[in-house]
Amino acid sequence: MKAGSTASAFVAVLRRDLVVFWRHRSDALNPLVFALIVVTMFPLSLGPESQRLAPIAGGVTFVTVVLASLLSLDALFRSDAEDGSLDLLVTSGQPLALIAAARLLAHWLGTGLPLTLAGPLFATLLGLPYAAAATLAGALALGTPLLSLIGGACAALTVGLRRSGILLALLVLPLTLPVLIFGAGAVEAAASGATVQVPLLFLAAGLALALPLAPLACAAAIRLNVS
Amino acid sequence: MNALTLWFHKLGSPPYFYRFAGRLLPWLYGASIALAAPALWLGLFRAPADYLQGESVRILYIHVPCAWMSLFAYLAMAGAGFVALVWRIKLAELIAMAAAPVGAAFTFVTLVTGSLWGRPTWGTYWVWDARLTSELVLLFLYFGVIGLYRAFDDPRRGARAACLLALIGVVNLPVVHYSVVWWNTLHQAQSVSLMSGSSIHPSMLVPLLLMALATHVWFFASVFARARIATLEQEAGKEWVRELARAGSTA
Amino acid sequence: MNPMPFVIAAYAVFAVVFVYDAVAPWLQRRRVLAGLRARAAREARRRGETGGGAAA
Repeated sequence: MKAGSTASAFVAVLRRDLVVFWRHRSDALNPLVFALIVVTMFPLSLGPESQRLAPIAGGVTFVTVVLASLLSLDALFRSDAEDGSLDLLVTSGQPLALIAAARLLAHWLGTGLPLTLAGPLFATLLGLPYAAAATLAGALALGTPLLSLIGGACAALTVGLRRSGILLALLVLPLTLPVLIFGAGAVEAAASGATVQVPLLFLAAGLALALPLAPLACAAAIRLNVS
Repeated sequence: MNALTLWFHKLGSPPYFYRFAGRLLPWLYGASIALAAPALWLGLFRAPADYLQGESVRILYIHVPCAWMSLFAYLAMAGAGFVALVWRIKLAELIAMAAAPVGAAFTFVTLVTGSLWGRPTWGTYWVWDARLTSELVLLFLYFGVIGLYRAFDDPRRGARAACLLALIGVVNLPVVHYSVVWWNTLHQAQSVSLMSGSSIHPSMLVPLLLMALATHVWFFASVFARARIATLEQEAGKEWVRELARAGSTA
Repeated sequence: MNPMPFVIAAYAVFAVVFVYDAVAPWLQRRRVLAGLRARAAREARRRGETGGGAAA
C-alpha cells in the first residue's frame, strides 16, 4: 500500500483506533457488562417465570444492545476534538468521509461485534428458543453496524458540545427505532414460525443505504463543528 | 437579473426581511383566522355526525389538518435546512429553526387530539397504532432538532448542526413510518381507519379543507414571525436594530 | 359514552396551543427590544461617565 494514498490513510486511522481500543481492552467489556446487567433487571422486575420472559426475550435483548451501543458513542470523536487531531484529519487532504468510515468501523469492531456475539447468549438466559437465537444473531449482525453508523453521525454532530451525553441519546434513539422494529420483528417471526426474510432484508437494505450515506453525514458534521 | 431574483436577494438582507415580514404578518394571520373561523364553526356545529363514530368525528377536523401540517413542517424545515447548508444563506438557517417549534406544536396537537378522539372511539386514551406511533417518533425528531440547536453557544453553528440533523431525519422519516406500519400489521393491532367506512360527504370535506388551508397559512405566519425575531437577535449589534429599539416597539 | 366533552377538549387544546404560538413571538420581540434598550442605556451611562457627557 503506497504511503500517503487514501487506502493507507483509511488503514492508518483504523489501526490506530484498534490499537487504542486494545490498550484499553478492559473498557471493551463495559458495554457487555452493561447489557448483562440490564438483561438481569428484567427477571428481577417481572419475576423469573419463563412464560413471561421468553416472549419478550428477543425484544428486550435488542433494546439492551441498542442502549449499550450508545455508551461508547459520546467519546467517539471527543478526545480527538480536544487534542486537535480532528483538525489535522480534516485538513489532511484525504476524504474525510473515508476517515470517518474507518472510525465507525473501529467502533463497530469494539462495541457492536462483541454485542452481536453476546446478544444471543443473553437472550437464551431469558429463555429465547435456540432457533430464534440464530435469527437474533443475524439480526444483530445487520443491526449493530447500522447502530454504529447512525450513532457515529449523531456523535459527530455533538462533538463540540460540553455535556452532550443525554442529548446524544435523544438524537440517536429515534433514528434507530426502525432497526429495533425490524430486528426484534425478525426474532419474533422466528419464534412464532413466520417468515424472517422480510425484516432481515429490510435491515440489509437499511445497511446498504447507510454504509455510503452515514460517513458522508459524519464528515459534514465534523467539518461543521471544526471550522 | 429580473425583478424576482432581485427581490429574492433583497430578502436575504436582514433589515429588508424584518420590514417585509412585518408588513406581511397581519395579512397572513388575518387570512388564517378568516379561513379557520368558518372551518371551526362548520366542524363544531354544521357538519353532520358520522354514522359510525358519532359526534367524535368533529375532532378529526382538527386532528387531520394538524397531522398533515406536522409532516409538511418537517419537510419545510429540512428543505430550508438544505438551502442553508448548501448555499449558506443565513435567512434559510433562521427559517429552518423557526419551523421546528411550529412543527412540534402541530405534532403535539395531533397527538393530543388523536388521543381524545380515541377515548370515545376505541375506549382508551392511547393505542399503539401505526399513525399515532409514527407521530410520536416525529415529535422526538423535532425535539432532537430543537435540543441540538439550543445546546450550542454559537447560534449559527447550532443552526447548521440542527439543519444537518433535520436532513438526516428527513431521510429517516419514510423509513420510520414504513417500519411502524409494518410492525403494526404484524401485530394485528386495531385497524381502525380514520374515516371508518363512511364515504366523505361534501359537508365534511369543506371544513376539513378550509382548516387544512388555514393551518398552512398559519404555519407561514408563525415561521415568519419567529424568523423575524431571530433576525433581530442575530443582528443585535447593528445600527438598524439599535434604531429600532430606540424608536420603541412599532410594527 | 358521550363524546362531546372530548370534542370540546380537543378544540380547546387546539385553541390554547395556537394562541400561545401567536403570542410567544410577539412577547419575545418585546423582550428583545427592551433588552437592547437597556443595553444601550447602560453603554450611554458608561460613556457619559468616562467621556464627560457624550450624547447617547
